[in-house]
Amino acid sequence: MEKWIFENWLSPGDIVVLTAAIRDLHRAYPGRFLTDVRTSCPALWEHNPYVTQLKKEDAEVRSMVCHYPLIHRCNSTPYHFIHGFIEYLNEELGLRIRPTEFKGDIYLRDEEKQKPGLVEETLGESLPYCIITAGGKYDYTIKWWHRRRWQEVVDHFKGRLVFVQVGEKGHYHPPLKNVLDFRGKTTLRDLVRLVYQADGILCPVTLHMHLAAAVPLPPGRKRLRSCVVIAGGREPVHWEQYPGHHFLHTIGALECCAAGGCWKSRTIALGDGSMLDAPAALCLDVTSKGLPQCMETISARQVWEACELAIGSNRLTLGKRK
Amino acid sequence: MRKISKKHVPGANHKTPDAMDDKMRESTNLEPPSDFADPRLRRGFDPVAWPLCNGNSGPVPGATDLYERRCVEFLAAYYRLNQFNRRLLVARQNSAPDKKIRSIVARINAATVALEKLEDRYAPMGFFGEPVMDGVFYRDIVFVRPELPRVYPALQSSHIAIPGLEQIPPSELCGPVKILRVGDGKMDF
Repeated sequence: MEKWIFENWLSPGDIVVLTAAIRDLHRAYPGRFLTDVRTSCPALWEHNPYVTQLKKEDAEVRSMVCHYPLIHRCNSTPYHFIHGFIEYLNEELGLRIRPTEFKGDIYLRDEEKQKPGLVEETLGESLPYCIITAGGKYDYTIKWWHRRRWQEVVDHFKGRLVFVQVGEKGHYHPPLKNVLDFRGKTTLRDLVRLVYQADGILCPVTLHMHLAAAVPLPPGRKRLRSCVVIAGGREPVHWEQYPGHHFLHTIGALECCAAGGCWKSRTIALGDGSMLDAPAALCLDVTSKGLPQCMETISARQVWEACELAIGSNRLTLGKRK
Repeated sequence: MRKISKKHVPGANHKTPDAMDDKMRESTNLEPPSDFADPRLRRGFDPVAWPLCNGNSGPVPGATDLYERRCVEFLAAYYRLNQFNRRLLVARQNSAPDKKIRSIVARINAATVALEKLEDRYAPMGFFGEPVMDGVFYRDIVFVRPELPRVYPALQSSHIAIPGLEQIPPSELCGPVKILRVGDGKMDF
């Protein structure tokens, strides 16, 4: 049996996608591999049946940092991010892994599934709720939408749907009104539990979008978990979108993303010395409101209409959980 | 997901490098306008309406630090709102004529629009103040962060023993760049 430790130290969203590759490796070659991981997010691997504790010092154990060079061809080739790590493993290890599911592979213990959700613990009753991520990290500021637009969407559903605002402390997550404010209050594992119970997710291209697909559904729920992604023109749709997700984008609609995602990093330079301030990494079309044109193009109305469609498609009566 | 664009995007509105350099300089220098006047230096300044800054008294007038100057610009916007909100409160308590109340409400609206414009200006860099309210008054403004942590180029060197490297003949270690794959069954290089 081959013993491998796979490494990746990128952001949590990338790690969620790596979980899919490890699952598919084992499904393609049952019993051939023993695998362990070293990543930036151990919480995403808890209870994963494909992870076996291995020691690097063991002479039989080999290790490899996993990449996804497929991303450099994503604008012109018909692949999803899910293919990224799989193709890399195929190339490096001479394998023929194929994706078996269109999602990452996150596991929860029965106890985690059964105990009342964080929202229920806070509100004292089980209400349908939507997770909202109204910001992001300071590295890729081009993904941000305007906070007043996020607020408009929340206000549209006032009295009908609970929004739970999440976001990591230290990142850019301006406060919204009339939401349950969980910013900086959830561990990654808490977030997984929060997603498990959530009826929908509203976010830019970020971790939460990957979790929406990767976290299993509670018993009795057959329909895909709703997710409305405010994406703009940075990344090609087919590379990012999961089944059932509403992906609001401008690819092909603007000059700067006429033929695919622009893959720029920042709206403006932040002056922090990062290479992401380089002219080549900056948005080419910033509006007077300080938004990339592609994000400015997506209105609050479009977003709430997509939310209504998504939540409606889950056959939820707003305000009551069926 | 990390990808820095290296490719030409067909049809993209590419600006010249000089234009981009200008844009970069302009955006990293987001700062209060040159005609910004600190209300604390004006006659009739009302210290009660001046909010706290991150729970403290905040930057002194004339502070030169960019982060502090940005904070003062926001504090000034909230200060104006506090002033008008108090005037409105007093006018209503004194049953002031509708015309006067409408005039104060209009000024509150204008001050709110000014605050929103200020937020918009700094939104691309993620700088904003989170108000702590006391009734209708802004008592404290908690700013998201000081300056972003600077990223400095670092020089690091270390010696790593790569098993198998000594088996490469010296003749292979000079001349044009070659890509060699070295492995010992444990690590691949």
